[in-house]
Amino acid sequence: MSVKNGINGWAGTIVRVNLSTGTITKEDTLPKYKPFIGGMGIGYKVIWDEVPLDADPLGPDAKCVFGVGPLTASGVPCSGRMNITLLSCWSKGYSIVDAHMGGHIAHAFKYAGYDAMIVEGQSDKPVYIKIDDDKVTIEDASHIWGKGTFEVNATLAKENGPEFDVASIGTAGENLVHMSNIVTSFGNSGGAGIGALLGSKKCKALVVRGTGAVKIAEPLKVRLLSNYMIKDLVGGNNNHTVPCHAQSWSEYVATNNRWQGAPGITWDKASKGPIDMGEQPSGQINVAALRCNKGVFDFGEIAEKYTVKQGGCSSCPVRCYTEYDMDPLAEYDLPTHVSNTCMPIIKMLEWYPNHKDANGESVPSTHDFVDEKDAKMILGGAGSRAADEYGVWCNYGNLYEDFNMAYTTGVLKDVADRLYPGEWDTIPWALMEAGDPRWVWECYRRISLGKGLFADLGLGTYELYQKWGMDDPEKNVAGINFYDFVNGKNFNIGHNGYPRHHGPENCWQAGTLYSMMYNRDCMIHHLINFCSSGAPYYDIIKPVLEHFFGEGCTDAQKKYTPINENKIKLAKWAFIGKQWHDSATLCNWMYPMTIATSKKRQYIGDLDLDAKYMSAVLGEEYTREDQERDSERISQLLRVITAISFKLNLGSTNLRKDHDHVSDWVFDKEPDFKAFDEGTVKLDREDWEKSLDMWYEALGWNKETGIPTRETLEKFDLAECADKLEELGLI
Amino acid sequence: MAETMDRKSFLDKDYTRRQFLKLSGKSLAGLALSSSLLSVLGVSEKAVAEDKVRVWAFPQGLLVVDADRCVGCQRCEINCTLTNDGCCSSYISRVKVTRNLYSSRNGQGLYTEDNWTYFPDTCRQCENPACGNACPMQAIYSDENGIRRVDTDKCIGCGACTAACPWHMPTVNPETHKSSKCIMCGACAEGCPSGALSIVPWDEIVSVSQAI
Amino acid sequence: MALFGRRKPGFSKEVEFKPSEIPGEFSDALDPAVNKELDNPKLEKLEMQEKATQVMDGEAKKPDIFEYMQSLPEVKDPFPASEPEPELPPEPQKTKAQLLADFIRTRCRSALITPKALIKADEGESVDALIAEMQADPSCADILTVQGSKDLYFFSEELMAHNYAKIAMLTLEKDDARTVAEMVRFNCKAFPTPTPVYYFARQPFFLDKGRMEVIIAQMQENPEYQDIKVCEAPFNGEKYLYASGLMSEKYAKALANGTEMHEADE
Repeated sequence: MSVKNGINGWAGTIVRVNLSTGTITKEDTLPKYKPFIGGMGIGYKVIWDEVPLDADPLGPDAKCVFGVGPLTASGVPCSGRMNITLLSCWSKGYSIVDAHMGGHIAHAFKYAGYDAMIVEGQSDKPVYIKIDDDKVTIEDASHIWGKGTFEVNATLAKENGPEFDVASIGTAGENLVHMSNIVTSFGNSGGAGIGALLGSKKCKALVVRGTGAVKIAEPLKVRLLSNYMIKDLVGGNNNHTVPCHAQSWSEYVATNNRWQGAPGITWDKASKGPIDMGEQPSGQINVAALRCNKGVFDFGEIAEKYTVKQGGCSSCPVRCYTEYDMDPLAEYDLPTHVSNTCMPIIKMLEWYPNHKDANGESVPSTHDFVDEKDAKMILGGAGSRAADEYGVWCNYGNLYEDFNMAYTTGVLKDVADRLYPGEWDTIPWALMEAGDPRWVWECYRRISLGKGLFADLGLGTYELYQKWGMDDPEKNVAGINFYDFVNGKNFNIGHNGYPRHHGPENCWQAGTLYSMMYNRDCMIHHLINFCSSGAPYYDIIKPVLEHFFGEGCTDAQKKYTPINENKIKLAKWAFIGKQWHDSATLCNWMYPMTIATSKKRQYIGDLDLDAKYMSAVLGEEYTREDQERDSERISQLLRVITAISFKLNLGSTNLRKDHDHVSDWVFDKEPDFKAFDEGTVKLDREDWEKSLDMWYEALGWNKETGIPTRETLEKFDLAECADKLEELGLI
Repeated sequence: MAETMDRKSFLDKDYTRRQFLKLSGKSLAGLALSSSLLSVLGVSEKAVAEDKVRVWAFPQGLLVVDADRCVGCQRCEINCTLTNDGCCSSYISRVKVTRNLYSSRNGQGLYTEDNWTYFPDTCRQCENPACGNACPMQAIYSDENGIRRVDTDKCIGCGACTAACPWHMPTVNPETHKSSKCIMCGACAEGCPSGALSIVPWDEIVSVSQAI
Repeated sequence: MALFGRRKPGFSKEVEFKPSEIPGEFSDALDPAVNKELDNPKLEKLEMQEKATQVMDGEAKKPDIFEYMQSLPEVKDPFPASEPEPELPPEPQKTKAQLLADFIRTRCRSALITPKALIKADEGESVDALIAEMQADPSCADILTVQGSKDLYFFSEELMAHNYAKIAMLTLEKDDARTVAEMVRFNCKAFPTPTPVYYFARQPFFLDKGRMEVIIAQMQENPEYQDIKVCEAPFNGEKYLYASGLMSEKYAKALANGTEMHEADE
């Protein structure tokens, strides 16, 4: 543990678990990984050094790196995040991706004394990895193989002790389903196919107990900074800084955002009577956890009756996971305790498209359960629990959007008839048509099997579209390219197999640029947070952002303007900032503190806060420049690895063309509008090409290919990356 | 000797505190609390009646633990250790919530049928402390402010205090091999973002006692 | 210390549960979720409130906590007595104007503004003079006013936001049409955003769907509110209001749709 190692911030040790040989070794984190910060940075450096980028992502040479950073478990709010780096088995190019896991396990891991764990090799029988401070062992998992994650997590916690934290894969991972995850706490999970990777290693779970401590250079300063952040800066979920019910201390009221806590909004199912969320004035710590009521935001006030409390991740005051007890599910013999915060609970209606009745009329498949319009919530509760039970990941919603579009366009039936004759009639469509919550359980069960029609959905969009001909109008009965077509349910941002998160729909060219940078959805919230914060655009958002990044750096919602240098500056800050979050580690949904709740500060946030935390934790000066330099180093490594993967796996030498290609709908949607009209989010193709030019220039990449130049890489001490690119003819 | 049955006595903060000392950690079920006292404590009548609320008399105020408000953020442990140990830890924290998150001794937590019941255990500030009585080195003493602390010069890290405490609250620090226990600094309550832990100053209790 | 923020009357909802056995003096085992004992989880909230009142009446015979404590034997006090508080000089007698400011501040703590009509002067003294005295006093510099159509209202800017005071004034004057129009125009200008009809169902407006339909119809007849228009979010038909002088219908509909689709959030 870091106190023992005498190191501030970092735990100081990386553990390597070889599941082929059964050996466990340890190495020092520093000084080797210091330039890469921690978490994602360590993961990328390890993959770069040790994993051939044309390795089978589910083969014996594949590795994954569980990582945390110097700010994890350092007392800093919202630092309960664990990053897991791996090769993608499912997106175009099969390049490097990350899964991210919240809950409490990141802290346990850090307290146990580790910055990272490299998992390599493959076990020939089911095992789990047990970390008990210094003692790291490989344990038999034969008694839990084949079981759902809730049962496994409870079993392992019971067997090992209440102080152990647990994360496990479901049967989807065991069956090497690409769309699979690892599940911890209650509803916290890491996706990106990590379930399949661990399944290929027959590694069922990770259990961790940490009795150690993280050494902090200036602990009282960390506490003071934390108090300052919670009082004056941070808002509610997604850092929304204006409540959407009038509160007497707040100048503004949002029309509808994630700050739903207010007098009259209650946790009705608190065990001893409803708890009123009251007002949560800026300047007070003891009310911060009462700002977010995700259930009410997602489903309306009908969610109150099933809300027990709000939960979430270690060290976070915001609590974005609503913890429900949904009684109506009991009538279907389904578990009533459900908890989630995002797609798995809010998009379950996608599994219930309208169907044709006996007369061939299109009719809804859902019905109210107890309250009007509560199907979204009840089916959401069922679906989120099922997804986690089987360990299925949804690719930020693409999983069920693809199902919904395929069903609705007739593609699903056509594929079933051609590729899986006889299977259609075994599918209990009556459950779907009746809006029965057991339908969504059945969907996830079928996906988790790894075989059959539904399991194709589990391949992920990229391979699914290839197999079902959905990427070629000539090859499917709908005559559509599902990557490009204009449809409210098409969120594919490019042709790589993942959606925007958040892209052109809210964040103009900036969101689109950074959406294209990864090998999965980008999960960048730097911009969307202030866009949706509830703060008025002209009075607060624009002046604050321009204070930081210069004139014209932002656009108002649905009122975009052509690209300019300051927009590129803002976009770059957000892009490299995501690497910072996943390396430090800090929650991607809460940081940075851009807009403040405090009127006294004129609502101006503190973008130097993260560096202040680092300085206080490390006991050495760490500036924002340092943070941005180290984050950009990791960003450059991401791009290099992507370029090499595309070359080795696809023969591509041009990322601009083959990776950064944006779907047509981004430019073709909303035909009643022109780009940059008031009321549309569509972009302009010429403006987009210009944006790419400026973006590549800002990042030091070749304008034609979008690949980093030697000069750029040498600036970040990545000369060996330049050598490799040159060897492959990419620069 | 029975004190004067007189509300005016409660104007004295020390008097009020001494009265509440009698109730430290005890059940309040069966007692009537005025709506203004309930309001100041931030709890409901039902909560009190069903024995879901405990109070402890600290020098600076009444520590109230409201289990339903605990959101499992672990910031109580973080603030405790940052303040008292100069590092960040869960295990040596003097207020303990992580061990209750999943499957606590009471069969509650995220991995039990009682999924959403988890809350911090706090030191009971026992009148006759089992931890102090069990210590072979008499290392647990009352300092000049009346707060029971561990004398780390005397402590040999034997763990007798942990074993003796019915709630296993003192913890032997695996790094320093010294026991630590709650010294009522209030950092946990100050930093609790949901009000599950709160310290109500004696001034407020005093004013409420007059509000009948 | 305000623990849980300001509270509005009537929002605390008591739920009736079958009371568990009152445990022994130092029972540590907390009851399992009492919800399991509820016969009918679908009880309306009003019914529950009624039953709670009955329960509370039944509880009236419990001993008061302060009296109970006094009846118990003394326990050893591990703490020394508090430091005796230093002798403070006697506080200067507050002027009536300063007391008025305190009164306004106390009401602000409960999220209430103070109408001038509520202010009473002593016989022979004038309310206006009292107010003028208060406004001239530097210790009352936080007391500001917001002008309504029916009265003048006072609030403390230390304890209440300016815009909230304005909203409070509008709701107090119960000129619903004016309230809706002012908020719709403000939102169009500041955010900019159209305003969903359901916005006004929330506190402190409490104008439900039916009432809003009446208000909108009234506004459409009133020349003062001709700029206030209705549009629907294409996604789900949710009705929104916007001010035509400040926002085009096209823009209003597009923004409404984005909000209804939770576009920013999914």
